[in-house]
Order: sequence, then C-alpha cells, then structure tokens
Amino acid sequence: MKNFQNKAKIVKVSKILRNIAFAGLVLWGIMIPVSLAAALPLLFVKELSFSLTQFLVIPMFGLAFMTNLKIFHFLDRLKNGCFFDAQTAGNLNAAANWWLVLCLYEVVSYVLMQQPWTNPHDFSLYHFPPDVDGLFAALTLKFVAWFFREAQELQEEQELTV
Amino acid sequence: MPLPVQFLGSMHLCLLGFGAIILIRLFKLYERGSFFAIGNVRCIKILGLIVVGDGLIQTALEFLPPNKSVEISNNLALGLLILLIAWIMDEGRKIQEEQELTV
Repeated sequence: MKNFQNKAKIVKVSKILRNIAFAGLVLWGIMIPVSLAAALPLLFVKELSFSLTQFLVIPMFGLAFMTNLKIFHFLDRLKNGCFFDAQTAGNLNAAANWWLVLCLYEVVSYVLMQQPWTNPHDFSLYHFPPDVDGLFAALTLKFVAWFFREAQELQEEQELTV
Repeated sequence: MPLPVQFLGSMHLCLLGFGAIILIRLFKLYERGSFFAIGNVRCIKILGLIVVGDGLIQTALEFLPPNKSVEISNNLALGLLILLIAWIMDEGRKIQEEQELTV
C-alpha cells in the first residue's frame, strides 16, 4: 500500500514539474525567434550599429531550450511511471550534459561581451558573473543520473533473476 | 532594516547552514559506499524540504518592503524536484532490498 502511495506521489509531482518545464520550453521557444529577429537586421541595415551581445545570446537561448527539453522528457517519463529505464536515465544525463555546455558557453560569451578598456583601472568583473549555481545544478544532475543508471542496472538484474 | 526582514534573513542563513550540514552527511554516506540506503533517502528528503522552505522565505522577502514585488522563487520548483528524486531513490532502495533478499 505504502509503495503504491509513493509511486502515486512521484507521478503527481512529476506532472506539476512537467507543466513548469513545459512553460519554460514555450518561453525559450519564443525567445529564440525574437532574439533572431532582433539580431538579423543588424547585419543588413547599415544605419544600425553592430552589437555582438545580441548575437551571443542566441546560442545561449538554444542551449537553455535543449536543457529544458531534456528535463521535460525526463519528467514526462516519470509521469508515465517509467522510473528506472535506459531512456529516463539517458534523458537526465543528456539534460546535465546540455546544462554543462550552457555553463561553459556562458563563461565564453561573458568574456566576449566585455567592453574593451583603455585604462587598466576600468576593468571590472561586474559584467562577468560566473554562473556557479548553474554549474553546481548541472553537476548534481549528472551525479543523480549515475544513480539512475545504477538503479536501472539493479532493476534489470532483478527482472532477470525473477 | 525592518524586524520581519531581519527575522526572515536570519532564517534563510540558518537554513543554508543546516542544508550544508545535511549535504556533508549525505556525501559521507556516499563515501562509505551506501547509495540506496534509508539514511541517504532521509538526507535528500530533508534537503528538499530545506530548499522548499528557503523558497518560501525568499518569496516572502520579495513581498516585504522595500521590494514589494510579486516574484515566486525558483527554489520552490527546485525543492519539489529534490523531493521527487528522494522518492525515486526510495524506490531504488526497495529494489536493492528485494534483490538482496532474492539472492
């Protein structure tokens, strides 16, 4: 009975989190074309001044979209009651990988976004916020994905034994 | 600084400290090689509750002056995700226990 309650709880909370992930997916889905529409005229209209920042954010939105998509797929699998199978663990691992790539890209893009300074005293890290929270979350997700893989192997072994 | 803000701020710090202690305990359990044990599941559940509590405090702090904004903290969803992982780990623990009994 308690086991069934636990599974029902997992499915219910997965459903809520899946809806939140879906909202994020829609948000990134809107952000990508909007940022493209804002950046592309800078290449063709001579009156507009070129801004590297507007181009650098587009891949960032793309990577965030991919991370969100993988988390959405992972929660979707949980909602369907598939806790320990290769696809669920794979989705979580893929989400962690995309998130790690996003963190690395953020560092690179923030370095490229720095304004050139003539006076050494002007240098400031104000526009270079290293996203430690994101990196920690991505590594935690990767760590949890390993546990999922371990549990998946346990379940497969158990199925073979029975 | 208003008294409610001071109180909530100190609660936030206490939760952070408590969370760090639980995280250290969890990693010590992993270091000993127990992955799907009841202690691990309990630690992850407590961490989830701490993050949810912290999210509630952060949301309350946003409502209070000087911010007075309606902004729901991301930590609420993050806490729910950690609780979800704890329940799934509990399922993993049951599978491991069943397997140990079978062999």
